[in-house]
Amino acid sequence: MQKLLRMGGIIILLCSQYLFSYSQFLASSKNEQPEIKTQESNKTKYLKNALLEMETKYKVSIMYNSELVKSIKVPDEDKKNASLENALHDLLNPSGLTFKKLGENFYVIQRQEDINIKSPGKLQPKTLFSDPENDRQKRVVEKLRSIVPGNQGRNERDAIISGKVVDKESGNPLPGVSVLVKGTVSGTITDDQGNYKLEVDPGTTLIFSFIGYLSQEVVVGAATEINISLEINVTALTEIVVIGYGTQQRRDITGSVASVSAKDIKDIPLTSFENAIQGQLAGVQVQEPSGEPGAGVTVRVRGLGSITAGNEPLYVVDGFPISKNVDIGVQGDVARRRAAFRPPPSNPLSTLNPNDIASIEVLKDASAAAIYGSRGSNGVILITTKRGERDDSAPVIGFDAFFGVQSVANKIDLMNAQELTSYVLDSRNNNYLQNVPGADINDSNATRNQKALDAGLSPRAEYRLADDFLNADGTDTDWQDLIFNSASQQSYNLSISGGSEKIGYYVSGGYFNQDGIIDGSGFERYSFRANLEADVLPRLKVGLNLNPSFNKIDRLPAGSPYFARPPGIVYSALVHSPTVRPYNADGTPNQRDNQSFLLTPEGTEAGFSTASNPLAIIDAVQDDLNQFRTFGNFFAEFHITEGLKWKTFVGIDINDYKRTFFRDNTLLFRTATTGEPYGQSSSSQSVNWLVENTLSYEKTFNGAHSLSAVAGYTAQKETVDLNQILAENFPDDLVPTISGGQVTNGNATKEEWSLASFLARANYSYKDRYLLTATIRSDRASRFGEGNKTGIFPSFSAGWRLSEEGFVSNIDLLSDLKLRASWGKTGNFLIPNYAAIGLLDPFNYILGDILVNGIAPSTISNEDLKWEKTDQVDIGLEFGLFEDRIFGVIDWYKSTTSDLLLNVQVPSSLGFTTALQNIGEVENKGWEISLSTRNLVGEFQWSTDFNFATNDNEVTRLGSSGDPILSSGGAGIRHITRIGDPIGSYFGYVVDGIYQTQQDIDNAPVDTQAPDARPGDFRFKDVNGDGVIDPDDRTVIGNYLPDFTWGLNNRFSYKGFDLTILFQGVEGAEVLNLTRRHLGNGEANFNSYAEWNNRWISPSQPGNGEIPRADRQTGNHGNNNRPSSFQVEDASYIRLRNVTIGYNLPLEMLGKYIRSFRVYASGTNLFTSTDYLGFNPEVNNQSTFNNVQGEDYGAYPLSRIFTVGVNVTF
Amino acid sequence: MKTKIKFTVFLLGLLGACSEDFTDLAPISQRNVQNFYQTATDMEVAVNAAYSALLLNGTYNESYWIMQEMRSDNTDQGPGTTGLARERAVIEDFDEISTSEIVTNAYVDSYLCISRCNIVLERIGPIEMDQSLKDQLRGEVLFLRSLMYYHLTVSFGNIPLIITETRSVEEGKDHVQVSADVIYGQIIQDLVEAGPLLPVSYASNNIGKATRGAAETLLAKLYLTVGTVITFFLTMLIYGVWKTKTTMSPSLRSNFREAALERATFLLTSFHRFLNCR
Repeated sequence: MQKLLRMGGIIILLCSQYLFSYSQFLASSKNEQPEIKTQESNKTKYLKNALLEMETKYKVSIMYNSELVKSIKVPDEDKKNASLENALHDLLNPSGLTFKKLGENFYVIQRQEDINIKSPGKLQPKTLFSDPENDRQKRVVEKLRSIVPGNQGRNERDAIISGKVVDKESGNPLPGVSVLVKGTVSGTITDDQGNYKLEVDPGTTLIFSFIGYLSQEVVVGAATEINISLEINVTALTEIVVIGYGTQQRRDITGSVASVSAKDIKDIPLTSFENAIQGQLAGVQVQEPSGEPGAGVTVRVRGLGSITAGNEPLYVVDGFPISKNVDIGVQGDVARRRAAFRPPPSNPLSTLNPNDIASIEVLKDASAAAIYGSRGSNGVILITTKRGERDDSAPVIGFDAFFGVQSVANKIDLMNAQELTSYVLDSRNNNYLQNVPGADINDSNATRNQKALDAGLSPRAEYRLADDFLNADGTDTDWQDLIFNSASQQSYNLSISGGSEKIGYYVSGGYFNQDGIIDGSGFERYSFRANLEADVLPRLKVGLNLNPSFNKIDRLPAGSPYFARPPGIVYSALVHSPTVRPYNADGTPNQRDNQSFLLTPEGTEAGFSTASNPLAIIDAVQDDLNQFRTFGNFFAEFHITEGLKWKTFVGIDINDYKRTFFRDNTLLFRTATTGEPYGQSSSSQSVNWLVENTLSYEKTFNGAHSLSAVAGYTAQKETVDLNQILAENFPDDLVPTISGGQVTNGNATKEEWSLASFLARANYSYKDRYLLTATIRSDRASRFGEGNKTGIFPSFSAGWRLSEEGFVSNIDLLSDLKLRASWGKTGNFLIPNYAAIGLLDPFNYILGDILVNGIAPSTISNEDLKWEKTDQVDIGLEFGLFEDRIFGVIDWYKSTTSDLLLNVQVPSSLGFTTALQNIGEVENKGWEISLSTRNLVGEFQWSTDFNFATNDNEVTRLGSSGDPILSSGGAGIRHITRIGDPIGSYFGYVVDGIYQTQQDIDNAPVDTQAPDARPGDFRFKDVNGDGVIDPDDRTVIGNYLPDFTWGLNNRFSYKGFDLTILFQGVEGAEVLNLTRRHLGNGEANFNSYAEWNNRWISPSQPGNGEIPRADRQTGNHGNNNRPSSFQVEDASYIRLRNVTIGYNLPLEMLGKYIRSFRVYASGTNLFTSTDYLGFNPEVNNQSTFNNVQGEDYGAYPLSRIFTVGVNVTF
Repeated sequence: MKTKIKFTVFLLGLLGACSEDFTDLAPISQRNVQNFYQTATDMEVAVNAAYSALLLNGTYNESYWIMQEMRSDNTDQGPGTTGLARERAVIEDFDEISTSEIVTNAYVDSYLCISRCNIVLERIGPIEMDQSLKDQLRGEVLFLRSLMYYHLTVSFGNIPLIITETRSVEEGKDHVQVSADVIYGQIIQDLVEAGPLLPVSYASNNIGKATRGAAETLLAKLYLTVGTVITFFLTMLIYGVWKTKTTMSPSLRSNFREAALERATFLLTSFHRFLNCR
């Protein structure tokens, strides 16, 4: 205890001097090494070595799973006269292990708690139950005895069955597998080569079972050879889960942690690691707002906790915490493009090769995430990469490759030329008839002009008809078909892993290439990895992870509005009239020959809008983004004494971006007649380093109390450098770099942040029944105000394994039951680096025709600025039924984020309109259910994973006055964050049907925003009931956050075949479809959604009752196009995300060099059922801004992908 | 045990004072309030930034002409009544809505300019620099501040009067409306002070800065706007007696005779010019 206290004291004192301390550590450990060796080597040795010695000494075979005995040390003392069994017992008992005698001179090592395996009857081992306290185990024995009437074997044997049992994944033979005749206790076990031989009656059923593997039953038929491959039981409670600064067995965890292991994802072709958890984990929503290759995927854990700060979880890659939030400017955003029209950034973590991933864990509740303190409130995603097996076996060489063909997942239903013509004529006529006295629908353009003049009105273009619609030449272009092509994607990955007792290695190289479905977009990744681990000294383990990778991303201005600069390709294609020909006679994109669409036959303007030819945009824009990212980390772990380990971890993450952008002369912006070329060259470098010193302790007292604890100090710092040069006036297109034009602007910026933290965690369990965890972290960060730099984040959680209690363990169907509860505090530090300091920015002026410097404050100092704090309560129930055939987790959580960082409106008489302050509160609560069931076991296997999560997001406090925050997205103020509603809700008028008659209009409240409504126009709702429809009637009309999300994954396998079917869905989310401003505005000045064919035409032809009349100047009449619920659409969907069918070639076909060979075919995004009109119901144009989320203003659609691939191991 | 003691010593060796500096990071690529406003050049640059506020949408770029010139008969929105045109049309018709961005911008951007002027006025005092330049810079920002207050008061009537630098957002709680007359009093005081500080003209590299003429003209315009004050000043002229508690500074009050005479002359000239223009 004294020792413990001393260590505790040391932990508290651990501090800075990182690099110094690190080098000192190495030096010291080197110096002390000989002494340690002489003192300690007599005392302990590895269990593995001890067992080897015993095998020699007693001339027996001892079998064990190398994972089980790994790193266990035992006292090195020679008990000369002890019997083998006594010696083994003494050796194993302190480590929680026991042994089983399986035959003469044949023993297998296993965990004490795992011995409820059905054992071969003839070899009834007397040491089977080492812990008489364990009720559950007793019960199993009794059950076994009751099934088996006696111990008599059969006398007559009709057939001799033999075969080999192997591990399904590795193909390695499994020794010690019990092969039992069902309903009896007779059977045998496999030898050290995995072979067995048994005499049985035909028609009997054999049960193959082994610790940690799923049992298999096989009916004996005519064949005399039955080869079995056993599959590792993943739902086993002994599964090791990474929890941040350590690992834990699944059954001991008291927080809410979801995980996906390599096994779950290896069968599916993955392009990014986020795909691996998409639709797989309850409460973890993975969204693809854009289908552009390499585009950022958004991940939300348990809803949205923040309005202003980031909402991406913290990512921890092999112990190195990194943020996925893209620092502004690092990817060299095109300076000419408004922030709101920027396509989503490229995924900064796309450098990670999904093939290298061993497991992904998501720390969902505050108890689990609190160890990451100020960065934990959005959840934490831990990514662990593969390690080499340190088992002296031959190296495993893995080769994985796939090739796929992509095509656009769906097309938008737009009007064809004929439908558009009727719509255009309708909109012009309605406008003309309403505005001009004496107007007649059959009037020519000339008459229309004259009649308007006669009435004292301007002869408006909006009354006239364009040549295209009066004299159609039969052109009917499908612009979507022109821009979307089929494209290939391919991936090759080679990995070699292996090791000896003292060293383990995993090295890999991967290449991935994805072309976009729009020409000129694409993504290429070259990734390399080396993970090494070595016991360099008996007490010193060192490790190295190195992961350099290079991405080459061809970006395109695909997902911007048609009027952005450069214009968006997809949106330009959608709004483009089908009456315009795509190409000129010489094959170049037609940019000028659209005048018959813009002009009347007489050559006057016809009041249409147009977009640039999307094909010309594809040709004219070069936008190359290169990313080079290297993760490197090194650790040294020193065993100070039994159970006590010191670990020093040093890591670095270097992320470089280089972007070259050129928009050439050939592209004409909409109706422009000359090009406006410009170029940009940007580069950035982020260097992030981390030093960690941790001390961990693990000990079991009196066999009942087990304690594990970790404490440490970490420091992390990031420096970001970026620069940007802009050039214009390129005289020609010969030089696509900035050297080809005149440099007009440039800048260079450098920013830093740093974080210094203490952390500690203790896990205690009593008899595996009562589990307690306490965590604390204190973070000191540079980003916060002078007086508030340090934050403290504690958490507590407790678990009760009811299944260990007598009153529960008697319930037969329950195999496991755990109740857990947690509370914790986490923070969010994703705010700008210098938000606490009053910053000055240039505001230049011109004096005497010369630009002079002007400098003034842009932000105001706030020395009180601090973390957002999230308090979260989580209550969970985990249960296993029918021997874990059904395993389920149910969680309820409620989190309250307070001290919310808000750009609060301040009196503008201060000279500032907003200031970042800690005011406000958001609440997230919900239920999560995960179920894993093994529906069928045996030869035909079927397992199902189901997850379901609800989330209820509500703003509970805002600012000092509680005033709502109105936010402008891509098209003015259309979002509101107000008390009682979710963050960033849509804001506008409510459409309350369509006026059918003048009577309707006269009876309705006066609409102050509709100067001259007519039948067929929208009736808007008088929300506040004051008898007038005015801006005060704008209200919340939906939000992007789903009510619930779910995923359903079914896996089947039969003989060598496997089949995976993943469905995924979202319910209750809405999208703000801004494309309706142009594709569904009733003005018919563009092409339109085909739903407008069902528009209101007259009271007798009211259409579908949802679409108003066509009217070219609705702004002057019914004003139907104002921000309203008409632009908000249900974005619920059900998606068949992936179907993969694979076949493992039989072992006998493979020859001796190939261990396994699997071929598969896979389909991704096969089918989506949704009411959403646009391409993608997950669209989110400004995914990085929480308060304007859910807008669709033209986005790169998702692809449907068909893939074939192979997985080979040698 | 010896090893363990040694190891403990070794661990203690890793300890050290946890440097606070590690997390005290100042901006690198942006100047901040603490390290700027130290030299004459800083002040000149700060004054330029105040001028640059004249380019904003809320000032001369958009709001001022829409809210003032367009409401006269000189300018007209034209027939278009959708989108932005509609927003202008309602202002032209004196029918603006409270959420109009044009109106909001005028308020916000005028105060932005005022805050930049206040920084200069408050920080220029202790700086060691050429006195004539210091005077001139003071005169320039006094003029700019008056110009903004003039537009604000004409447009909004009673408004908060802020003549000190904003140090924290908490100060906003004390910003209360004062009557327009108080604002006019402040403007008169400032312009009366600014006029003599400003040169009559600038060298070519400074063309565009406020001249004495600018300050005097604005003052004249103000007198025209507030008839009661004109009466007041004329009365002062005639009786030569300062009889009221004004917001004028004591130094100014002692020189009021000359000042009042000078301004009255200027006023009359301006008034003539004004009448001739019509």
